[in-house]
Amino acid sequence: MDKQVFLKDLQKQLKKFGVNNASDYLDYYSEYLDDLIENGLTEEEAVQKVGGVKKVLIEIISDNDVEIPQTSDRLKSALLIVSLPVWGPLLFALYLIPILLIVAVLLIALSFGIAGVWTLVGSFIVTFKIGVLSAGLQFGISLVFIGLAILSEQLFAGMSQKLFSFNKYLFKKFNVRGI
Amino acid sequence: MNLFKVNSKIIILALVLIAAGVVLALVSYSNLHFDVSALINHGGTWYAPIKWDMGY
Repeated sequence: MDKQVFLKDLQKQLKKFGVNNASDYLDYYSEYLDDLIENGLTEEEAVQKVGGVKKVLIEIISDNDVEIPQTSDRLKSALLIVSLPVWGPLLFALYLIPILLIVAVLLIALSFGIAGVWTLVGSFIVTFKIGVLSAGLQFGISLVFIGLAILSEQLFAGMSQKLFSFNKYLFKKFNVRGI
Repeated sequence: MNLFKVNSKIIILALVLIAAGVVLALVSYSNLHFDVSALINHGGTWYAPIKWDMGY
């Protein structure tokens, strides 16, 4: 077994055991092997002198400075992943609710706007066809509609701003690797 | 005035429009003696720019 194969094998095993500071040990053993090779041993002899992957692994795991996450944490994350089909869709539905609410508010704003403009145009026609009083009533109603349209539009703007900042917060919170 | 941002001026404008509309509608309607049938008996032709023939 040459040095590269030994280090790769060791890396795989350390990953399997969830060792957080695996690179420290890999660096250490890489340098150690280099020293042995400099002192005249071949790569195979050096790896043999170190004791092979299994022995080194046992040494690392029993080392005082090794960082292995608590079993409960690993169990927790395993449970989280296994139960993803249950809570995933629920979480997604929960996330969809505000988005659909915002769409609903936008549609309300649009409906009020269209109704407002429609009755506004109609009120001018009513002035000549029926009379000023009926036109006044319709004009008043159209103003109410347009006012409600603007209010709903503002509600839409506010809600989408809130959703945007919430998404930004979520991105910052879960973007631990700093993409 | 950006319509796509929450703006207190726009909200106040909307509230003023609603208040003015309610007052105008109520005043006109009171002058029509709150007569619902007077409005409806136009056969629906009065409230929209297009003539709406419902067939009755």
